[in-house]
Amino acid sequence: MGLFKSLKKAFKKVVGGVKKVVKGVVKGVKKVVKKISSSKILKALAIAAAVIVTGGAALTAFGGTMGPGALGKFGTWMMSTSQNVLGGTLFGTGASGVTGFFQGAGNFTTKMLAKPFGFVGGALGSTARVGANIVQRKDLLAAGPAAGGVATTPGAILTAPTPFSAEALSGQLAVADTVSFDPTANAGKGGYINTTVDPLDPTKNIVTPLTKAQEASLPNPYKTNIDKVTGKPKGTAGRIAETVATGTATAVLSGAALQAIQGDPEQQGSMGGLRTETATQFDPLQVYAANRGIAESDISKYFTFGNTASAGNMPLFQQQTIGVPS
Amino acid sequence: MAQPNRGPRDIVTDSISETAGQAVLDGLDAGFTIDDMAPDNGPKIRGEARFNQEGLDEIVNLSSKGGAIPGQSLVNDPSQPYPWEQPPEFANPKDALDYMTGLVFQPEAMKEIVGALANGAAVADVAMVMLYAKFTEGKFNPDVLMLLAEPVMYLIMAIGEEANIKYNIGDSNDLDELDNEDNEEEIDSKINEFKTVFEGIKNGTTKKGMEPSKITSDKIPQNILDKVKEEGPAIRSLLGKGEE
Repeated sequence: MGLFKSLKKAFKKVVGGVKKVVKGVVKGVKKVVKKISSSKILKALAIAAAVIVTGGAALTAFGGTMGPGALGKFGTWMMSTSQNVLGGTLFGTGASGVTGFFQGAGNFTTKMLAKPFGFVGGALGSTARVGANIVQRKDLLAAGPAAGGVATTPGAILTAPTPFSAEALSGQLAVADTVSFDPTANAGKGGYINTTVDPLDPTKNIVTPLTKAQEASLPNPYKTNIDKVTGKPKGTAGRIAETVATGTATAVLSGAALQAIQGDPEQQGSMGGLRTETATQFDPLQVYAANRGIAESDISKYFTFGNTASAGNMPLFQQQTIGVPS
Repeated sequence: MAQPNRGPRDIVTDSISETAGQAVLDGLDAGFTIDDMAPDNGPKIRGEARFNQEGLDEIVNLSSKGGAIPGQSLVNDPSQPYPWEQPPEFANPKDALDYMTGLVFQPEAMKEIVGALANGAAVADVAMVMLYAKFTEGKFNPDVLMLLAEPVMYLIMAIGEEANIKYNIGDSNDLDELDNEDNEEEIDSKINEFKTVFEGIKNGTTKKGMEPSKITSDKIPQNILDKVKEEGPAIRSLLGKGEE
């Protein structure tokens, strides 16, 4: 059995364990709270687990369900649970008997894996926004409505942030693309302007200086990021979302495809796993064959055991074997 | 918002799942309601897989690219081992979990995870692929990979919950598993209720102590008693034979 299949098989056991616990908790909660749907309990469980695993970072990372605001108290309460895990106080101190045993040896996984994780930052419901965009058949990263559920007015200087943008992560409204800083405005003193298309003549722009109140409403990070001399943004520093690019995303994207072709390890005669060593892996072999004037189709006859003369360099499958008396 | 009447209790478990489960029960006991813990965000998006010709073509393409011939790895140059054949970057599961949490919480990754869950990918598959990809990059060894399985799955589940998606956990068709159990439980409880009432009727227990003479006027409003007196035999029993 290949490594991937072995891992997949072991993973299945973990999944089975998780599902078993989920069902156990659902039953346990149903004994306490009558007439409650299982999916709600699952949600509470997932939130609690994420808070414990991340040491509370999930609270700030999501912002919507788990974050500050209405759920601040439960979040804080859960945080203290997490802190207890981290501090090892979950196991008590100086206990004897079974508790003492756990204190010393038990809770290995929980103690080992739960850890504070404070550098994620606070996305303001960005994940929830992506989910809503899927339902509304919008672009995944389309901005949601502004505060209070009101759609952003065309021409407004402040707009709802796009999910996971720097503004969303810092809990700010985004500044419309039409707003800029003009060093020559305000009689050479410089000022913010809003450039919009003239509704009567689309080939022309209307430039309107922002009022004092409008200027005051611009988020500080935006104002500090503007170079007052050139009128242009100082750079991409601080734009958290734009600095992120990981291979994980691609890996996740192909997740469903992988699952479909890797087969079920429990099933006899199932299809083999994804062959990660693709045709490009044959290139060295082709070079090897070309150097020696060997036909590629016959290459297996020329493989050697040990790749140097000192290591044997013997033809593979033809090396000496220990004779077994018949 | 309920006010907790105490702090969290000590929890002794050997897994994240157990800890989370007990934390939820502890939270309920401390005075929180389930709505405090998991507020309703409206109907969920069903993470169902839909047929996609493009996706199928991609799979066919991937599987027809050819694979390693038996023994190919044995002829690799030992001085250029694969990343997973070298000492891993993270030997400590704590560090590995920090690394994985950092990746999972990256905006781009979150977006892809939400998309994958909404398209029917199971949490376990997404977690497995992410962890396996990092294993092949030599980030951690298979043992650490297995230790990370559970926490990474919960991170993905939390993302799914936050995005209001009804996701598959273990395989691509367990979407309604919990709901089906809910329905079965409800049907069972209704059947039990019916059986109890039926048994009661059968044994006459419901009639006990229900003599008309025992009905006092303070239990039933006077106007109803007057109406009964007035109409008398004209009132038909609900269970009586209907008019022919």
